[in-house]
Amino acid sequence: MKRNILVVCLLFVVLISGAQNIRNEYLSENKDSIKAYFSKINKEQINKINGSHSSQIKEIFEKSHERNIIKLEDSVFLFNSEIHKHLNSILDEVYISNPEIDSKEFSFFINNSHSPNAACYGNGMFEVNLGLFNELETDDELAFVICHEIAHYVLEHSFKSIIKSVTDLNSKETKKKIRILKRKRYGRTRAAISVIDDLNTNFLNYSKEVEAEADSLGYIYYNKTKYNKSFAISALKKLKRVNNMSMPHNIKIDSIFNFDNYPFKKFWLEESVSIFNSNEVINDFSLNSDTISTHYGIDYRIKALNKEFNIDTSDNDVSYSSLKRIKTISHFKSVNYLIQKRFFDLAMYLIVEKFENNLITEEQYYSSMANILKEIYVTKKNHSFGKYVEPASSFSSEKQLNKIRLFLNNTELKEIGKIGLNFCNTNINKVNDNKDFIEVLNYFKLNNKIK
Amino acid sequence: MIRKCALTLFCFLTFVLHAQEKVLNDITSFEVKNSGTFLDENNDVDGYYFFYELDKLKKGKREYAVKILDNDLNEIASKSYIGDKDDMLIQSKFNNQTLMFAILNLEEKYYKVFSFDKSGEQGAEVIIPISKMDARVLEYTLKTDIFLPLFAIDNKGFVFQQFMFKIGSSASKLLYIPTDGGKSWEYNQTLEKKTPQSIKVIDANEKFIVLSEAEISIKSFESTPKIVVLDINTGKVVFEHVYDKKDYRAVSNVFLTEEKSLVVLGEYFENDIVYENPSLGLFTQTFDLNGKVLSDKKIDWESDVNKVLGSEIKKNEEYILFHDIIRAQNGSYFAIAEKYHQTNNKKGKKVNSLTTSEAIFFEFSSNFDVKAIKVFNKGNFTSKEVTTLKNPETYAMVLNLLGFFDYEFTQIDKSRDRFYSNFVHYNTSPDNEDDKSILLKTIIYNEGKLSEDEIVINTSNEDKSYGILPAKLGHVVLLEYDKKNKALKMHLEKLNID
Repeated sequence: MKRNILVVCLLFVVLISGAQNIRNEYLSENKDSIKAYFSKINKEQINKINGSHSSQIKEIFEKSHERNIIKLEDSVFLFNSEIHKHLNSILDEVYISNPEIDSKEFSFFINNSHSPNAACYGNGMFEVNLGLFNELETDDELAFVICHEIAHYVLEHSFKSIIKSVTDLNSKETKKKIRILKRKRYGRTRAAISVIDDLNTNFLNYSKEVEAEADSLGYIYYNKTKYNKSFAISALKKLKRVNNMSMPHNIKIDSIFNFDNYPFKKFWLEESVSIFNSNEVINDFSLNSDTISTHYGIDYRIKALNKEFNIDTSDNDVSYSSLKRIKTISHFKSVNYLIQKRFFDLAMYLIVEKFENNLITEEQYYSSMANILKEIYVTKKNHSFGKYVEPASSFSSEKQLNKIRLFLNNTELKEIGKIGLNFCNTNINKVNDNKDFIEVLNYFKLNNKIK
Repeated sequence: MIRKCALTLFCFLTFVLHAQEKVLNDITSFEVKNSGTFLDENNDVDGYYFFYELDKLKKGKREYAVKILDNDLNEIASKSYIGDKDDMLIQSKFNNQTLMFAILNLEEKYYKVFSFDKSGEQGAEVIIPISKMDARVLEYTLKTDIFLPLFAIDNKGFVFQQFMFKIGSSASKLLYIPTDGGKSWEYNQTLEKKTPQSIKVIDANEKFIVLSEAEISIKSFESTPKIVVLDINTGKVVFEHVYDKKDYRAVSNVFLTEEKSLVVLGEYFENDIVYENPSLGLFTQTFDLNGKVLSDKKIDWESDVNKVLGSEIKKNEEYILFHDIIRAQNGSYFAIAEKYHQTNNKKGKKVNSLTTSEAIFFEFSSNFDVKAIKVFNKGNFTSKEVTTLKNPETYAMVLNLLGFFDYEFTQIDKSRDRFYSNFVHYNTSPDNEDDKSILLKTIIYNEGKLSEDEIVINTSNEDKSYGILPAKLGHVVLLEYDKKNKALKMHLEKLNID
């Protein structure tokens, strides 16, 4: 099995950091060698570029490289030994089953994002979001997504996409359109919007084709593995579901924060009067391309995949193995990351959803929730809360998240103090003398002036 | 979550644009022409607007974009508006039924009002021509809030006030624009009177509109104030009350109560030559809706207020500038003031400038008896020195008009019987001129008590500019403008009640 030196290094780092505290999982101790790896693969990528518009294309790759360095510095990646180990076991299966895949330059990074997604940078670097572990149910589904990303690499999609967008923008046709609109005395902006819309639509349609192409080759790789074939379709269906609404779990805010000594107040969920009676943003300047989904027509992809391979989905319930154990880690890690980044609304949603679905322990739930309440109290006190939590919006498709936002934005500092105190007092017997929980309880006692 | 929208630029670029990016960016990004806040009569914020010019059209027309944010800073609409090339959006108001915009065009000399209904559909435009003289005066005062024309009446309509000017004379015309299917009407002053006249729409409910009107004699500088109550459905005068010149009253607030009476609050003076004689105290008057005075009570600074002020103020050295009177829902009143004194130099000698200091809140019972005073520290600020300063109290009135004092406005939350009085103080460290900050001090009345909250924004970074905007009740919007990237970040923060 091929595995480059860096991956071994990473795993080594990960194994060490696994024994340390949680925070270190966000900070690679081997940062310099990762930076060196980013530079190396970027240089190799740039050296391959020649021909027309090469300077513009190189610039795009340079910017992508800079962004990755920033992500590394900002602790966007998670270096967790168990997750990496599990991911590597799936990768091993894919590589062993497909020896034609040259994986020696591959590195898979775990991105802390809760969004269920994966990415291929076209230079050997891949990202798998924590959200993907959370959303998918089986190794089989994850294996298909990985095969899909590897297919993107093999088919050079990211490289070709960039070339296409640059070429389209510099095409004779686009240049002619721009020349015409620049000469226009009247209605120039509307004409420019139309050019942008055409370019966007063209690119998004191309992306849809590219995704279907990656599904196709990805399925060929996947088909050779031990994993159950029907899970390719179920993985796509799950991505479609999250594309529509990724947070469907009913969060009963009014019972979670209803205490004998401090009952829930109805006005905490009161919505403001809206200026317009509309379910969506009224936009006289909307582009046709705005309506094209970012998940590039998953229905189209499922249809194409089924047509090409006639996948039998009847045995959908038989999985090779479950992601359950990894999910217990990924769920908790993604919540911790959100708390660290102060995305309290998302963190609150996920912690409740995971607890009510038995994905995290009781102690994890109560200590994390107490911590979230404390952090909310701190940011409200220093008037920075609004930097981290979106206001509620009647247009939000995430109704459950919106409910949390409404609650968090409507509650006043004093009220959060009382909620925090009552939450801790009510649940202290469920946390086995958890030190962090006790610390939060004492913090709320102090701020509620209770001795 | 912080809003990183480049609201200063209206931008259509949504996807990867590289080679021709600059060209398309030039064509499709537009700097904001005007922006503003939808404020109601309680200074509650319904939303915000940003006005951009997008496209040149034939016959001197332009396509504009109005980007509308709700009071949570959510972008709720981007509406197209076709207008003249010199149209300026000067004000917008929301009355729970309709969003009304007022346009001023100084070149073509007209006001234009147009609206969007609850479904976002644009209604008919009303064009109001203005004279050359009107245009000239309005141009000089554009950057001030003196001549803003719209007043919103919830679930009823809007009053549009047209300001008219002639040499030696000024007058106003009120146009009532119903949004509930009612009838339109006008209430006019005439320029033929050859005297400066003013109208201020102060309060309204579903039945009445209350105006404060005044005329000033050019010869004697004497003024005649009066309160006028109009029937909202017909525009007819229900009653008017003219104040005696020897018992001059400056009306600051008027409330139409649920008990069908009218409560008038303000300051009273020895006579109508206000600029020479600072006020003698505060008054409250209650009228029935036939214009009969039911009660009239005065509180004298000298005998009533100084008694409770005690050591809070040094007589003949420290002064009080009164800003506003607020009526709490439980019937008590609060007068909001700022303390100031003539500045002493380092040697302790008085110089020709004023220094503001604490905010003072006077609490009165429903019978207008002084109950208590509370003093809040909010930082000192010293005005520039002038060559002569005869009377600090007169000079304070002038400085107040120029915006020298820290008091900004008070938001009233009738449903929760709260109010929020905001003072904004710009501070520069005495040790380091580059160390600058803005202090927002808010005095909050809640559950019968006054408390304070403050937000300090460090403004030392020269690459950015900072600001504070009014927001929905109990909140403020904090702004951070990145001059280099022309990007505006804004986030909503709740004020904390102790």
